[in-house]
Amino acid sequence: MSRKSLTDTARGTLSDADIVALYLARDESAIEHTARIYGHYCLSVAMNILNSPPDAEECVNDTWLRTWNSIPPQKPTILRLFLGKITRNLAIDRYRQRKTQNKEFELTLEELAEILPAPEEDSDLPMLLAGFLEDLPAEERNLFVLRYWHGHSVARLAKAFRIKPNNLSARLYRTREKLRAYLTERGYHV
Amino acid sequence: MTERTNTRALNAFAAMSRIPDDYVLAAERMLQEAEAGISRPQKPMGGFRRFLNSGWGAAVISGIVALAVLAFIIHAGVNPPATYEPPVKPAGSTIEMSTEGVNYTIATELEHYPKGATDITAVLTGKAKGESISTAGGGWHLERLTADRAEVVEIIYPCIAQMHEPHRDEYATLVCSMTALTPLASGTYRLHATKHDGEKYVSVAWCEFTVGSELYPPETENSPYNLSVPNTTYGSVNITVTATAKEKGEALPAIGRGWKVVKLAGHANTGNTGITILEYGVEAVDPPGADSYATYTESLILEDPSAWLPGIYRLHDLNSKGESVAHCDFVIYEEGYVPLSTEDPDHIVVPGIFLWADNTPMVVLMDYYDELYPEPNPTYAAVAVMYPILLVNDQRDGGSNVDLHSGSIVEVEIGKKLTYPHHGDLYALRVVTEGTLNDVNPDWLIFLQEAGYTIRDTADTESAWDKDFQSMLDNYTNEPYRFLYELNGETYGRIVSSSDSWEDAVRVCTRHFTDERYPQAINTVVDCTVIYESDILYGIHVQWEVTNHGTFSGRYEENVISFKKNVADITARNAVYDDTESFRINTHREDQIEQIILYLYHNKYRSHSILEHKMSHTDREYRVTIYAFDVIYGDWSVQNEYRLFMNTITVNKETGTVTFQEPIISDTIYQ
Repeated sequence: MSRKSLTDTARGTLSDADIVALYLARDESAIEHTARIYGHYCLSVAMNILNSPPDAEECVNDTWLRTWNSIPPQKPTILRLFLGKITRNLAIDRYRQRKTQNKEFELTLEELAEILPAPEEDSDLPMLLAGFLEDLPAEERNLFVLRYWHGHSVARLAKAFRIKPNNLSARLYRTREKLRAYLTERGYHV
Repeated sequence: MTERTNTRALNAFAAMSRIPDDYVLAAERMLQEAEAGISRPQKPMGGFRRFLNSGWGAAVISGIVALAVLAFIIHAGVNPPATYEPPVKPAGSTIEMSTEGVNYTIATELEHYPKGATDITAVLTGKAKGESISTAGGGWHLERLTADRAEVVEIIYPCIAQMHEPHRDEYATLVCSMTALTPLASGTYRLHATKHDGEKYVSVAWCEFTVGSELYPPETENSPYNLSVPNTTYGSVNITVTATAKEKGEALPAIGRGWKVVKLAGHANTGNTGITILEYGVEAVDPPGADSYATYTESLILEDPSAWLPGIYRLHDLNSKGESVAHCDFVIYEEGYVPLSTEDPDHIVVPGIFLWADNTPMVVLMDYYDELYPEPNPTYAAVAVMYPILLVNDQRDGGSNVDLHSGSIVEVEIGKKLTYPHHGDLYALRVVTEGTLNDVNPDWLIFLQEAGYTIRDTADTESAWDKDFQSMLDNYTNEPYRFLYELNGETYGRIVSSSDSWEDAVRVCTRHFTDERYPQAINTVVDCTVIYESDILYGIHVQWEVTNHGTFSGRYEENVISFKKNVADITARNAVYDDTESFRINTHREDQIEQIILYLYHNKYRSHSILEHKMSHTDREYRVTIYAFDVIYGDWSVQNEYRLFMNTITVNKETGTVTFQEPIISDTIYQ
C-alpha cells in the first residue's frame, strides 16, 4: 500500500518527484500543484527583475506553460531551481521588450556592465563564471549569486544580513573587481 | 545606461542562469536563514575575534566559561537539565557540540515519524522570555544515528521559516519546515540547529526523533498503573489525568513527578505547548479497599491553548530520571466537533475496505498515515473525523488505492466484531458520511452488505446524461474557453465579495483591486462605478492603475459581479486581504439559485464551457448538475482532446452552504 500518496493527499502537498511524474503523465493537476508550492517563489524571482505585479504574474503564468511543454522530455530533479531558471529567463526576455525601467534592476545591470565583456565575446562566459565562483569563499559566492542571479536589491540583502548597505556594496565591488581581474587574465576586456 | 551597455549587461545577467545549481541553492539557503534570523555572513575578524579563534584565546575563554558555569552550578545548587548536556559525538558526525544553546529548546513536530517521511517541521524556542533568537548559524543539520556512527541526511534549503519576535513575557520561536532529499529510513535521528564558527558547524541545540514503520509505539506493558485523559476540544485549557491501579486493592506509587505531552498526529504545532500543574495530588494513594481500585487525579493546564492544535496527543508520566513510566493518548478535536449518536437514514454508511488477493474483505479504517487499525478504539477513530479519507486498497490488482468517497465524515463508531482468516477477530468501524460514492465497485457493496452494513446512495440517479457528447459538441456554437460572462450587453469577469448596497458594492470592489503588497508597485483604483443592478447582483465597472516607483505603469479595467448579500453571501478569495473564500446562498428561489450557481461555476472553472445544466432538489438540498467540457489543444499531429465533465453543486436548504463536488470526467473525444 502506498503510504506516501495517502499522506500527501491528506496534507495536500506533493514531492518534486510526484509532481514531475504528473507532468510526465500529462496530468494537468501538475500545474496546480506547481503553482501552489512554487508560485510565491517564482513570483519573487520575476518581481526582482520586473518590479511590476501584473508583468510578474504574467511571467509566472508563462512559466507554467513553458514547464508543461518542457516536461517531458526534461525531467528535473530539483523543481524549484528548474522553475526559477525558467521564470528568470522569461522575466529577462520580458524586460528586454518593455520600455519602462526597474531602477533597482538597472543598478544591478550597471554593476555587471562595468566588468563583463561585450556580447560577441561571451560564448564561454558561463563556464568562466562558474570557474570564478568555484574559487570564491562560499559566503562571498553566495552574496554574489544573490545579487546577480536572483537580482536581490542591496537594501534587502543588507537588511537580511544585518550589515550596512555601504559595507555590502563594498564587498560586492571587491568581488566584481576580482571577476574583472579573473576575466582579464583569460583575455577578456570590457 | 546606453542601449548597447544595457544589452550587454542583460546578456551577462542571462549568462548567470547557467552557473551550477548548487551555488544558487546555497545562496537561497543563506538568505532564507538570514531572514529567519539564524544565519548571517561572518564579519571579517577583528583583533578580539582573532584572539578568540587562536588556541590561547580559546583556552582562556573556555576556562572562564567553565568557571562561570561551575560558579553558577554551585550558586544555584542545581545541575543543568540533563537534556541539554552535549551528547557524545558519534563517529562520522561533522557537527561539533556546544553548550551555547543550553537554554534553547528544539522540538520536531512529531517525536515519531512514519518510515519514508520526508517533511520535518521543527520549532526552536528562545533562551529567555523577551529574548530574540540569534545564532550566527549554518542552519539545520540532520543526522541519522546508527550503533556506532552518524550519517548526515541532506535536507533541502531554504526551508520555510517563521520567526516570532517575542514580547517581554514571551519566548521567541523559530519554526522551520524542511524536506529530506531522500525518504527517511527507520532509525533514530538527531536534528541540530547549528552555527558556523568560520571553520566548522557547531550544534547549539538539538533534539532526537525516531522513524519507523509503526506510527504508534506499542503500549508500555510494564506500566504499573493505567492513565487516562478525557478527549477535549480545541481551545480547552484544563485537562484532568486519572491514574488507576491495575489490580483491586493495589496501592498507587508516586505519580506525576513530571508530565510530558507529545503529539502523535494532527496539525503541525507552531507554538509553545507547555503544561503546568493546576492542582497537585498526593505523593501516593492508598487502596480504598480490597474490592476497589485506587485512583488518583491531577488537573493540568494547557498553556497557550491556541497552540494546542487538533490532533492526537500522548501524555507521559515521567519518573525522576525523566523516563516515561506510563502513558495514555487523548484527542483534541476540531472546535465545534460534536459526535453524532443517532443514525440518519439519509447518510451513506461506508467503512474503509481492505481486499485481499483471495477476495476476502477486511473492514477497517485507514487513517492519516495509511496505517491499519484492526482493533480500533475511539482515539484512533477520531482521526477519521479530522482526516476524512476513506479508501479501498485492492490487493487483487497490486494494491492500488481508490478513493471511495467524496464528502465529509460526520460520525465514527466502533462497529461489530468480524472474523477474517488473515487477522482473526477484528472490529469494524461504522463511519457515517455525507457525500457521494466515487465509482463504486459493486463487489465492495456486496461485501459491505454481507458484513451487515447499510448502503444508501442518495445521489440523484436521474442526473445521468443520456445525450451524445459528439453531437452536442458538433452543435456547440460558442467559443470554447470564453472565460467571461455576458450580462445586459456587457461582458463580466470575476466575482468579488457580496455587498448590500451600491455604496457597499463600490467599497468592496475598490478594496478587492487595491494592492499595496509591493512597496514600489501599487495598484490604485481610479474608477469604480455600479453599471447594472438586478434582483441578485450588482454589475460594477472598475479601473485601476499600476505605479512603479511612483511612475505610472499601466491602466486596467474589468466588469465584475458583486452578489447582493441578502441573496448570496459570498466571500471571494483575494490574496491581498484574504485568502479564504466562502459561499452561502440565502434565497430559496430556484431560478435565482440556478443563476447564482452558474456564475459561481464560471468563476471557479473558467476553462469549462457549459453544455447543459439541470436543477433538482431533495428534502435537504438544492442540486444543480452541470455538464461542461474543456479542450486540451493539440499541436502538430496531436489531436485536440475534448473532455466532458459532470459537475454537481449542492446548496443546503437549511444553512445555504454551497458545496462544489469535484468534477467527474464522463467522456473524452479526440478530434
